[in-house]
Amino acid sequence: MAYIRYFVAGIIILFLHMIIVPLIAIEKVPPDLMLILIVYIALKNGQIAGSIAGFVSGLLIDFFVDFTPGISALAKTISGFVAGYFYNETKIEINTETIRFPGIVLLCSLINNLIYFSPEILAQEFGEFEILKTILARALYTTILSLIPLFTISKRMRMV
Amino acid sequence: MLKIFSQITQHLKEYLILSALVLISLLLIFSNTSHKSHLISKIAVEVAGISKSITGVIPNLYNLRAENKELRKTNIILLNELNQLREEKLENIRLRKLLGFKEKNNNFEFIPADVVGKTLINPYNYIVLNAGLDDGVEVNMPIICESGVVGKIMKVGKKYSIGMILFHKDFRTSVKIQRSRVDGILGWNGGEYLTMLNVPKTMDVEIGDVVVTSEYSTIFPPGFEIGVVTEIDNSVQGLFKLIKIKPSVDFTKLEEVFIVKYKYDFEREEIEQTMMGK
Repeated sequence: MAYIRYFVAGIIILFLHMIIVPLIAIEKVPPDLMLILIVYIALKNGQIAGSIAGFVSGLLIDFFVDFTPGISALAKTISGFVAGYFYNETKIEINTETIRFPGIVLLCSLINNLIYFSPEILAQEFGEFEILKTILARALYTTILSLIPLFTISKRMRMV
Repeated sequence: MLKIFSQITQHLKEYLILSALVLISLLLIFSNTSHKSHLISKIAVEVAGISKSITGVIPNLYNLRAENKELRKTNIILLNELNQLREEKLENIRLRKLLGFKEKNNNFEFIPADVVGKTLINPYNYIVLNAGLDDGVEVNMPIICESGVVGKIMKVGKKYSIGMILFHKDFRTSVKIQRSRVDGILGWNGGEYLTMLNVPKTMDVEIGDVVVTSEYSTIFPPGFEIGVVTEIDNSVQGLFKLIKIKPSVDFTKLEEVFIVKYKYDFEREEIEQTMMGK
């Protein structure tokens, strides 16, 4: 049942990715909403779930947003796997409902961006400023947006 | 290291799934023709190139052995070629010297010839040349090389001729000391030096003087170098000095010579004979 919920959430985020994200991009830096969901799934269910969620959602973005099959799937699979490292059955709530969550999102977003833009970086198609802007700004923007579900959904944060 | 390994084995399922998903992602990337895929392919080629260059440093023992064998073969061939080139270079130097000599003495006509045989250990030493009647060689023609006088033609065949060299018991010619113009007769009495005969004890001759052919010779043109005075002995009995001359030509290394087409002056010979007869 939980996985169906995740799937539906994924489809909704995909639509947001396609329609809303370009509109809320700052200086052509869009947030990665899908990554927030992946990190959340990984922290709730572990590395395997995180990896599969990363792969499927990455594949969907590849086909419907980037039209480049593979690269988002790769970046998000690894990000989901890394996020799964923080999975702990006894600390699920601490990981997902405290300030640790945006921290993990930031780390995973950096990894995701690094992998996603690695072809351009290695092919030296970016200037130094562009690399910083693309990787850091995108990770920061995603991290900031990850605070929204934290404040709206999390019981702990609401209690705070 | 062990810790990492045990961690990997503990979470083998996770790693296997990750590997499978990464593999699928990579396959998708490489099966595509988009700009990004193109970039990745470009990088993949670079990476492959770098890894090849790194692995290329590690030697393959079998290949090394075969390569070594091949290199040895090449080395032998090249050494052989090098020797040939050295030979040709030396020949070239010799011929250049000869040509230079020819240019300096262009009043005469020269017939080039190779020394194809020689003897240096007998009282009657000679050289065999590969030029004969067909080349215009005649008896009594002088033989010279870039260093000086070699001898004269003794016998002529169709294609070969035999030259009497300075180290021959019967060889005689008129010579003179270049510096003091003192005349004498050149001969050989055995040993490594030539002898200048008929030079009075009062004549000005010094060690180191150059001996050249004289105008009195009916065979040799004047001014060709014979050798250098190395020893003068005034203590011998009689009126004449004993002068020893080291020849300019190194007969042991003699390979190429020129036969000078110096016409024998019959008229002069005839007059001289007549005078002597009187």
